[in-house]
Order: sequence, then structure tokens, then C-alpha cells
Amino acid sequence: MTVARDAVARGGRDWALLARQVGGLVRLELRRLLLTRRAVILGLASAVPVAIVLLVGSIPIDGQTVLERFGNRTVYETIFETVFLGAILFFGCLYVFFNLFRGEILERSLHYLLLVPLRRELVVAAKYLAAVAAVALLFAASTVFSYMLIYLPVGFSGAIEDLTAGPGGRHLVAYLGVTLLACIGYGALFTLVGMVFRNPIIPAGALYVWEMLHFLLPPALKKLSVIHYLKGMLPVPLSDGPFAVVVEPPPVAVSVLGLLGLAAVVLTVTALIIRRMEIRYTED
Amino acid sequence: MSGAATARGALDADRHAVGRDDSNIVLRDVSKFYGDVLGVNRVDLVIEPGITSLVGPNGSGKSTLMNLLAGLLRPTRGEISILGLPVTRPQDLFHRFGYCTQYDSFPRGATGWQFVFSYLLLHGLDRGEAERLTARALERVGLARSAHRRIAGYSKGMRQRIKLAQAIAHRPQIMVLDEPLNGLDPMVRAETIELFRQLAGEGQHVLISSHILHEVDLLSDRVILISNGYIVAEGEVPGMRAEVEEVREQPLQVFVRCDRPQWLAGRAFELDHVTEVQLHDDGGGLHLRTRDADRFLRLVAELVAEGGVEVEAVGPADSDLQAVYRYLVHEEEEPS
Repeated sequence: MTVARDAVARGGRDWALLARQVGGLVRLELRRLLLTRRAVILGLASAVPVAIVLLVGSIPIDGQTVLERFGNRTVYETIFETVFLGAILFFGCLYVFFNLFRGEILERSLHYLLLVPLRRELVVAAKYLAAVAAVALLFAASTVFSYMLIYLPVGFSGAIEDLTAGPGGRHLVAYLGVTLLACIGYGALFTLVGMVFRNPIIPAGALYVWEMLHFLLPPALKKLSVIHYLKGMLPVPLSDGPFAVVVEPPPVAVSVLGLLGLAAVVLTVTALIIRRMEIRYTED
Repeated sequence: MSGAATARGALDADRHAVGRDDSNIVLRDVSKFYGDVLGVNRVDLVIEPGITSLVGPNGSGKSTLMNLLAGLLRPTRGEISILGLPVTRPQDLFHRFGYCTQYDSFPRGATGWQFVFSYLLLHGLDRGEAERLTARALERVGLARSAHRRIAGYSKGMRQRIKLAQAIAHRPQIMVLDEPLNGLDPMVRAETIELFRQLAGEGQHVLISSHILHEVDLLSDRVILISNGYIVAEGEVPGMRAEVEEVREQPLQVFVRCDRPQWLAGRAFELDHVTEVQLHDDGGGLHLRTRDADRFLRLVAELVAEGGVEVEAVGPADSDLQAVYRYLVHEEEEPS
């Protein structure tokens, strides 16, 4: 306490103190996210792709598994794009990030955080970082486990060979990158949504429709969807169907920087909102 | 509102006399509106160290004022500084400020220990220091033995005390406590009041809101009366009646315990400044209201000297906070 007050008295910024405070908040938030019912729900959701790949890789139909019949990379890409990216990552992020502040408002416990000696912008940053870490950890684990299952037909030695000498390792890194960037991008958007809206159904529903129908959008509007950049980073190109407006995928660097920039802008808006935020729980 | 105006005038003089905004809580022309609804209006206050009570009926603006001090609400107009720090700088202020809110809510699943300890870590303390301060705070509010139980299983009084522990754990110089005695049983209430006295004795500001007047009367160094969003009076409790013009003009209630109350009542009614007389049910005394207590007391002294009446006790019956409150706060909802 003396250290903290001395820093204040000096009028200077004690960076070590600040790091301890932000670190403390990140750890507190991580415990809330990973050691509560929320983690169980997320864990079950992240197990879905694993279960699906296990299913299509182990149950033979007419003597062949789906992985063998259609090719393990194509099957995995389809599952990743439609199930994981198209539903689990989106709704998993919605569940966690929407409740990052809205949950505390509904539980009437947000004021405790706003009464700690930490700038409100840093409260947003710390909670967001903790949520990204927690969600990315669970979903990255899901990506790795499900990806390893595509090697069921070729066995352990085949998996090692493809991961080290073939394209398997590069693909896995790409899927992990997409997973992380999806958590960052959707996470920032849903943090803001949770700060502004009491009920997520309409804004999240609208965003979901926008994201899912992005392939029909004209090229200029495609650039306003998160999934456009994420899909551009996927290693195996898939057709979006006969009605899709086909455009060249953005370069990986543009996708990465674009999503990081989007997250930065959205979090800045969120920080501006929380700076002016009043605690009036009766209205919520 | 002339009482408030008087109080504001006195405040301006005080502020110049004090001249130490960096050791006080200072509100300058602070107003808060919720749309068209008034929260508090034109509040000017300088609150010095010690125990200060904020008293008013439900909906009078007590919690609004406290939330403004904590930065949980933003003033529509005016400025607030605490120990010379603006409330818009939490990174500086909340090392020195503890707030026990009215909200009976807690982070889900937390035990008493975790609740106090985790927020101490957010002050930047190392674990050892945070553990030491957590243990001390829980000890001070009498929850050391229940520390590792979940707050969800606490009684209302225990929840009130764990909030108090969390507010004081980092040893703030300013403690703002919104109805901190609510839900406490008499014994714990007495212990908590003693804790407030200890904290104030250590040179800290303790600002307490309450609608239980007799407790406030006993524990406060100063009282701020608030009604309908306006500060109607402020000052030290014993001198408040004399200070506040509106109250001074009101009839003072006097009680007399004597052997001939009916006869004394008859004599009192002969005086033009006596407005009301009420005999005690036991026939051993009377209460009366007078605009000139000194003249009435002189009459009693003369009657005693003449041997007309034997007086056991005589004194003002309403010079306490309750009287000031009753005169100033014209509310249907009287506080208890």
C-alpha cells in the first residue's frame, strides 16, 4: 500500500505497480472464466468439432470412412469452416465476451471493478485479454485435437511425416491463427455489444446473418465482415456455391492487421463508453 | 431552503477558513439529474476528517451523493474533489478511497476471503501484504471465522459486514459507507459503531448515510441533512438547532417532571409564547412547546422558589437531531 500511495504522491506512474494491477485483474478474470460453469459450457462446445472429426474418421460407410473417401484435408476444412468457424467460435465468443461486462452489470458487481485504482480503459483491456486467452486456449486445444484426428487413417507415423515434412504443420498453424484471430475480432465486437445492449439477440443475430451471408455480398461490403478475412487465411480453398460473389482473398498480412486494427478500434470505442459509464443497476 | 442558504453561506466562510481542499472532501455546486428527475441539486459541501453522517429519508439523494463521490455517477454540473484529487482519476483516488455501496450483490461464487483478497490484489499489493490486510479487515468486522464460507450463504448482516471489510481493507483515508448498519443485530451494530469511531480516531474520513437518527446522533461528529436532493442543514449535532435559522424560529419542546403538572400546565397557558402543553400519562410531568424557552424556565424557577411546585427534572426535549430533522425535512416518510 505504501508503494502504491508513494507512486500517487509522486504524481508519477509506477509501471511495476500497474503491471501487478493489470496482471491481478487478468488472473482474476481467467479464474472466473476457466473455473466456473462458463468453462464447462465452452469446453463442451469446443469438443463438438473433435467429436465430429472422430465420427467421420472412425466410422466406415461402405468400407471407407468419410475422411478416406473425400480426403482428410477437404473434410477437415469443411468441418472447420462450417461448424467451428461458422457456429462454435462465433457463439462461443458471443457467450463469453457479451457477458464480460453485461454479466457483471446483471449481477450488480461491476462497481467493485470500477472502484479499484485502475483506469477504466485498463479494466476493459485486462478483462478482454483474459477472455481472449481463456477462449483461445479452449478453442486452440479443440483445433489441435480435431486436426490430429484427421490422421486416423494414416496412423501416428503418417501424422508425424505430414506435420514435419508435408503441408500438415503449415495447415495446423493456419487453423490456429484463424482461431486466435476469430477470438480477437469477434471478442472485441461482442465486448462492445455487451456494453451497449442489454439483450444480445438482435445485434448478434444481425451480425451472424451478415457474416454467414458474406459470400453473397458485393466485394466492397465483404471487406466489412470478419469472416471474409478469416476465410482468406484458411489453407484449403472451398467453393461458396454457385451464387457466391467470388473475390480474391486478402493477403494474410492484410487479414491479420485488419482484424487487429478492427479489435483496436472497437476496444477504443468500448473504453470511451466505460469512461463515461454510470452505475445505475436499476435501469438494467 | 433558507437553512440551506445559511449553511451554504457558512460553508463559503468555512472553505476560506479551512483552505485545505487537499485534506477534505469538497463538492462545489454539484447537481445530478436523471433526465428530468432531480437527484441532488446545487450541493456545496466541505467535509473534514471525522465521522460525518448523511441523513435523509428514502429517495432524498443520499446514495446519489455517495455515488457521485465515488465516480459511479457523473455530476450534471459542478465539481468534486477528494483530498485534492478529481473523482475522474480512479488510478489515484481509489488507493485512498473505500466505498461500501448499498448494493447487496457480490461476484458469483466468491467466499468472504476471496472477495476481499482478490480486490486487494487489484490495488497492486503482493500476495503476502494482501493476505495480511484481508485477515485484518475480516478480523475488524468480526468475520474471521466465516471467511472461507461462500458469501451466498451469509446472513444479511454478514453480507453487510463483508462489504464493509472490502471497503476498508486497503486502509483508505476516506470511507464512504452507504447505510452500513442495515441488517446488523444490536451487538454487531454496537461493535461496528465502535469500529467507525476507531477509524475516525485514526484521522480518517468516515462518511455514513443513514435514516436511523438516534444512532447517527450518537456516533457522528457532524451531520448533513438532505431532503429532496437539497442539503437543508449541516454542522455539528449539538449546535445545529441553534445554527439553523428555521429551527431556531420553531417552538422548542421542553419537559418538566414535577409533583403538580396540571397546575403548572395552567400557569404555562397564561404565557403567550407557550403554544402546546401535553400531560404525561403517568401524571408525573408534562411536555410543552414554547417560542421562548428561557422565559419559561425562569417562570419555573420562580414557581419553585415560591414553593408552588416541586420539580424533579426539567430540560429541552427536542434539541437533538430528530428535532432538527423534523423541522427541516417536511417528508411524509419520517425516519425511524
